[in-house]
Amino acid sequence: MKNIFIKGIIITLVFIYVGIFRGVPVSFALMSSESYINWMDSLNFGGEETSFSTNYKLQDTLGEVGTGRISSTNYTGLIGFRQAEADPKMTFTISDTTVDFGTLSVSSVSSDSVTITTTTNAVDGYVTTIYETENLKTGAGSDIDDVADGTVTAGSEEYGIRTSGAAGQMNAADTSIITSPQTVALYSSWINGSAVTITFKAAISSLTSAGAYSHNVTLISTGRF
Amino acid sequence: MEKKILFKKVIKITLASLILLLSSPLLPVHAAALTSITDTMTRLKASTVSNHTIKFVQLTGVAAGQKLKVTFPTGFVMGTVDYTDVDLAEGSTNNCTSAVFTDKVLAATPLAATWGAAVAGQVLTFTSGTDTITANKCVLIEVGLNATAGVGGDQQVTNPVAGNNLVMNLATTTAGDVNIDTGFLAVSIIANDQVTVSATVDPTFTFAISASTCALGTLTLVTVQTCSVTLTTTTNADGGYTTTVVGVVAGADLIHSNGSDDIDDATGVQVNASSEEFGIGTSDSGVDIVTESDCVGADNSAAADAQAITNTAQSVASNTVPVSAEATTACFAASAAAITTAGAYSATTTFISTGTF
Repeated sequence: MKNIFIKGIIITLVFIYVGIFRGVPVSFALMSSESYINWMDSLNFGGEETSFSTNYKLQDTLGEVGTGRISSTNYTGLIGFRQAEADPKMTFTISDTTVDFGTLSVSSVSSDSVTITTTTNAVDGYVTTIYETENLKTGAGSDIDDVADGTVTAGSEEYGIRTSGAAGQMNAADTSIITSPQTVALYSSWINGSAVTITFKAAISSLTSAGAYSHNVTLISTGRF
Repeated sequence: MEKKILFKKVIKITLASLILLLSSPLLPVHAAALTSITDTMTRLKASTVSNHTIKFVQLTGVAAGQKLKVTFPTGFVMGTVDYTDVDLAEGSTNNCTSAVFTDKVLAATPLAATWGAAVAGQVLTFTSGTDTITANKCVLIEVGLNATAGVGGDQQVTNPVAGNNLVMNLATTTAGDVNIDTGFLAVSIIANDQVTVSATVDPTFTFAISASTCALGTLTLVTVQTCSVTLTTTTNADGGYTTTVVGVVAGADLIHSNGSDDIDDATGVQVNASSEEFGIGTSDSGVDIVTESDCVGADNSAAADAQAITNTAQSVASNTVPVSAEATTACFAASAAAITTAGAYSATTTFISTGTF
């Protein structure tokens, strides 16, 4: 009798196994009412939230098959408990909010840099933009010309930025900052600690007006969930 | 026999479980996930007003009478944002980057094709009257000064204190507030989202006079004698510079060596042959001193454009912007009359160049 019962259980498991692999799409139906939302449910047989050390934390789930992200032109699928379980995450930091070139010289290019870092579990990653409300200028209104030829050159009045880092979008040329947002960093999947360095560069000519120059640039990082 | 019956029972249970297992994925989906969700803000700084540009693709569509809800994270201050400060638009496709958006007509409450838009607590709710949003199209919601359709927005949502992983929930719902499509995103609010860039350009100024002597030669009754010096200024003064000329003796600058006689100052703007006159012209224009464009040509001719040098400073060269080695020719001109006392004459003039920083 015991053997028959075991056989029955085995047959059931086989059918479940076949069912999982037969390609029937699983619907992640969100169960909700006025008082609750069950964001997802999952059939698995284990996992825990408690694995951690100083530098990491591991949340694991056992028993799922074929998990991960799939996508085509018309859809994106996040398969598995961990894919669907996570609350949206977005952190953004700017390493320094002050860039001081000091005294500019006609014989050299002055530079300073900040590093922007984004961490997100957004399915399509993130985009960080930069914009200014006005040019780098004096109180009297004289400004440092925006770089227009891709390179800030000593002896020429030019000002711009260049990025470095895998997600940097201005890695190839010194680029002017304008009043419309321009993309300085872009990553197309979730990422932990995506760092991009923005190097600000300025140079002057003998005709650049004397004075104290300043302006603010705004950095906006947006998750693409 | 007993074993056989038990086996049959197990098989039945198995089949029943299997049918349930395989049929459950085919049940109607109660809600689907919104996709391509973004909220592009204009400021991430804590406690600062910001516009919001929210985009997402909804899979099910929004039927007449249904709702679309945006729940801002706790801490965002909705202020007095109302329907005039928000826009709702339907995209032409499900590509939120390239879609062309058509604004919906909004009012405080829905009426026919007009959508109602209202804020209650952290929730911005759009309620359809009879209008709809087609399934699988990108939806655009603007909140703040960027809401320009209809009555332009003049109120913005204020960011909370700094914090990460601030979750905004979005949903399409039935008229009875049952979720249809749902999704969420997170934003990061930071202490300061701006980088202040500063630099200093030190002032520069150089001034040179090509020579400290200028010989007019021997004056005659038939020609005007001239000589010149070049005044050169370089400066990054924002307002440029002004160079002035001033004589050391009032009204009698070209003085005889006897100390008492002199060549009279030019009375107009020309020094003419046979008239006892002394003056200065300049290659610059728009200054106090008259322009003498060709000092060399004036030499040995009957007249030169020049005017008196006084003991009050008169501008002889200037510009209103920074200049690099800007050169101006200061042209001295003199002529003698028949009664001009013979002898050696000389004058000392002073040039002062000043930057306008």
